[in-house]
Amino acid sequence: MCSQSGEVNNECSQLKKSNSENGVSTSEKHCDIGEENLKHNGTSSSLGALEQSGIKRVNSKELKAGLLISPLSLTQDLPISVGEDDNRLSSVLENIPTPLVYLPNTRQLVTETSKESSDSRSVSSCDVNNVVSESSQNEGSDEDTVSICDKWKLVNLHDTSSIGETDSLLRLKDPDQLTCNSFDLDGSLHRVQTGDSLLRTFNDASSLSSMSTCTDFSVSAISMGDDASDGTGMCLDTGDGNFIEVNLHTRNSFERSKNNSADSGIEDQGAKPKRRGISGFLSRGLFSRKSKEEEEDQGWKLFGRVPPKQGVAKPPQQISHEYQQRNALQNNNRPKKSDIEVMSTTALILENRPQNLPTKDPEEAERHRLQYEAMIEAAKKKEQRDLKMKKKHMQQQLKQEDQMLQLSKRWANDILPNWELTKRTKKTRDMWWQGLPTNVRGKVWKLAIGNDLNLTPELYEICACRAEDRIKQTCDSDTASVSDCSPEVSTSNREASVELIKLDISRTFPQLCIFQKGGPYHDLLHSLLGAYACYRPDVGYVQGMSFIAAVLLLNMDVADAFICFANLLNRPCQVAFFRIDEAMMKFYFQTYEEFFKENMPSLFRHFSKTNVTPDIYLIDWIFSLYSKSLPLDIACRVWDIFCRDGEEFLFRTALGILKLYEDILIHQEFILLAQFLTKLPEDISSDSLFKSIELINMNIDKKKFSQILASKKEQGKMEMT
Amino acid sequence: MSYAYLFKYIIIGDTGVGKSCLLLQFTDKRFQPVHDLTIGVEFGARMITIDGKQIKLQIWDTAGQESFRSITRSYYRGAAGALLVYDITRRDTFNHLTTWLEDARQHSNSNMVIMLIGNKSDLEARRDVKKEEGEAFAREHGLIFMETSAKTAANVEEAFINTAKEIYQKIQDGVFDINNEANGIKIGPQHSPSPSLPSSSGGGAQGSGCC
Repeated sequence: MCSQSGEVNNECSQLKKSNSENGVSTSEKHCDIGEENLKHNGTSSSLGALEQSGIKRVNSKELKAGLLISPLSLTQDLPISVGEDDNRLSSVLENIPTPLVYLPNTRQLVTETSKESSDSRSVSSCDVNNVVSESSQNEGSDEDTVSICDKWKLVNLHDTSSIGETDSLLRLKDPDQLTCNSFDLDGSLHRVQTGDSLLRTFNDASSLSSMSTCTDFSVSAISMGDDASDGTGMCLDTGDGNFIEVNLHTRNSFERSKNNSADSGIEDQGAKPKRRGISGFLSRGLFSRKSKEEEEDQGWKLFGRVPPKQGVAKPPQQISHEYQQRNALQNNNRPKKSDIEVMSTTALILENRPQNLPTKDPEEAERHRLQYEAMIEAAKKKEQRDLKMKKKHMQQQLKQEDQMLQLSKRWANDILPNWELTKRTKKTRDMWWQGLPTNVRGKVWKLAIGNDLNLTPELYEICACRAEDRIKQTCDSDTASVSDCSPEVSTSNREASVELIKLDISRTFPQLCIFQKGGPYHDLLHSLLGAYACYRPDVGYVQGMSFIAAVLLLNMDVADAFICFANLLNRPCQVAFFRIDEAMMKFYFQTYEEFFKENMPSLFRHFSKTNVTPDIYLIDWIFSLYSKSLPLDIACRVWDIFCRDGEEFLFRTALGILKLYEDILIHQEFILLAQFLTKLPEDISSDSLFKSIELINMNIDKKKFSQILASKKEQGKMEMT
Repeated sequence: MSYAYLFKYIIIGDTGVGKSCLLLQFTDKRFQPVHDLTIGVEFGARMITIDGKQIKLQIWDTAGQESFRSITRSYYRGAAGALLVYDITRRDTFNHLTTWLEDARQHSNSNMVIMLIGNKSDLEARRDVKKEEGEAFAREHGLIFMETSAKTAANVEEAFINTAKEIYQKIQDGVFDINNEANGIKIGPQHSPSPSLPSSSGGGAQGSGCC
């Protein structure tokens, strides 16, 4: 982006320079944006050509001479006065009262007298019918002033529709006449109004020229905005007021040209019959010629409807006819599918051979007919099978949704109102295990996590405010230190925490695109984490917290999320981990290993042999409460039961994961194990995971997790003393 | 896949300097503009060829946050090479190099090859640490130095491979005891420990065989 804007500035300054070179008062001047690339030679691609641009004094004769297509009357020159104070091109352009016209052949930007155009479709106020007209979104848009420096929009269009009708254009060698170019220095979304003509745009700063030699029209847009390398969505306004969104990606001009012909034929001709303009003319002109050729050619036809054959009636054609007729009957019942079947390439087998090959003998033709029918039959069967599957899937989904609806009703109506009474009943716990319906999830979590710390939303507000102040402070000191270039570093741990929060928020669930800067949850997550760092400066911000906070935010409002977050992090296991209490972490790992040995002795031995210690994979799992390692929906289900069963469920889940993949893991060497466990498969199934978690026994000799943990702690203390 | 040697690498440096992105570029040859943050440790592996020998790199990519230092310290053990990464657009990540280096020297074996990497060289416009400063720091502390870009892949291969070359040279020179796995070097499954390695690269190589 920087280099691009650099070039733009470069150009601006060049324009400015040449402007002043030409004298202070330049009257009768056409602005000429020299643009080699607009010539569509299909090869030149760099923006460097822009540098050749300058302002030339041109007279209208030259202009005329530069145009290859005739029906053009030329513009009237318009005096532009360039004073000493405002010899910037932007101001020059702003002073031009009439729209600018770009003439690609001569590569000139000219002004127009604002006579009303006779062609109502061509963009306003050109007296050059059907040639070029400046972007002129004047009606209703205030971005229409052509100002080079900030928002530089030059759109030049040929209204090809009327020229197209003559059909003569096809024979013109100069593709420029059929080209609409638009550049937009400002970026991504382009709105180009083109009267009637169809716009094909693509957004690629590196290739100004999209024009193909083999296709007959093209519109290219050159955007020198931020992400010029990516295709961006463009909004094209056709004259009819229809908006078409076209997404195009950078590609080379050869591909582009190939696609152009395909696009124009299939999409534009077929799908949008309402449109006229280029597409209309193409259907009349280009394609009529092509189809003539096709008719003459007795060769193979790969795509499309099999046309009834003329000429000598041959057995295969009859067969084809019969088949089509028979199908037509069936197709009356299923009109939608007819297209699919007839359009298929399988009918190729029924075709005549090309002329240069010997004709089919009847036996062969008959065989082909049978083969063809068999193929069709198989395809039909497959289709039916697929349909059945789809139906079944649908039904299953509906059933599931119904179940969820029932469940959520029961949660909302029966359980939540009497939480204290119902939370421990077997029925509730069983329902809980099934996973909480999303609409009650936040409420259940909130109740289950509780608020032992007695936090209030007011406290959150206070902490959030304080955090905001601090963020501002660090930002200020940041910019100050940058500008001063002082090597001073903020040594304060707190400030480092604040800095880190900023950095990490964008790295929290990046695939969801809601916590990133500009996303709806970015500020909420920022203030929640900042508030916590304020509330517990002794803990501060530790990586992993952002994931926990994010999951909470997805399920409840920010004040509740803060209260849950603080209470959750106050649990012994979380305290041990987030304060990196290595001794306590060790006890947890040891306890975990006891259960590992108990539940999967052979895998445990394999892990010991290959030196895969629990810290390698458990740290990530525990710190983020699985929200980073498991798909979010499964992670939420783990959270459900974590809320129900407490910390031991975190370790049970870990063992459940190992159990689920035990058969794979037992044969792996260290690096594969480590890689697998630190990056779990994305297609992990919720039900199978919970089935394998269910298989994990959390009792050793009737001792529970907490008891074994306590004894480990005891042991540790004894060893210490 | 069989290999002659396995080298254990560890990537260290402040959070957000691009450690995981460097690894991803090296192992998968792709760049993820927004990478998940690393909690604890993540892993990568790739086979490279040096001097006609297949060498497997086992790379430990550690969390950068200060709080995790006590955990990641234990991962230095048995590393043959370390990539110490800073971000050329953030001076503080450069300023923290000394503490990282102290940590690394203290908890690893003394022969560990350390490569200093100034990452994000594609962001020239936002550069905050001059290349010369990186070079000076490396010279002062006896490190190899390179500026890389995980985004454009510039120098990424070289960073990993040059480190491996240095380790390989140390093996050739007999500095590393390859039979001691604490050095972060493992001999491949089929490879016999008595190296009658014909060293094609310049002399000075001493095999452990008799003379």
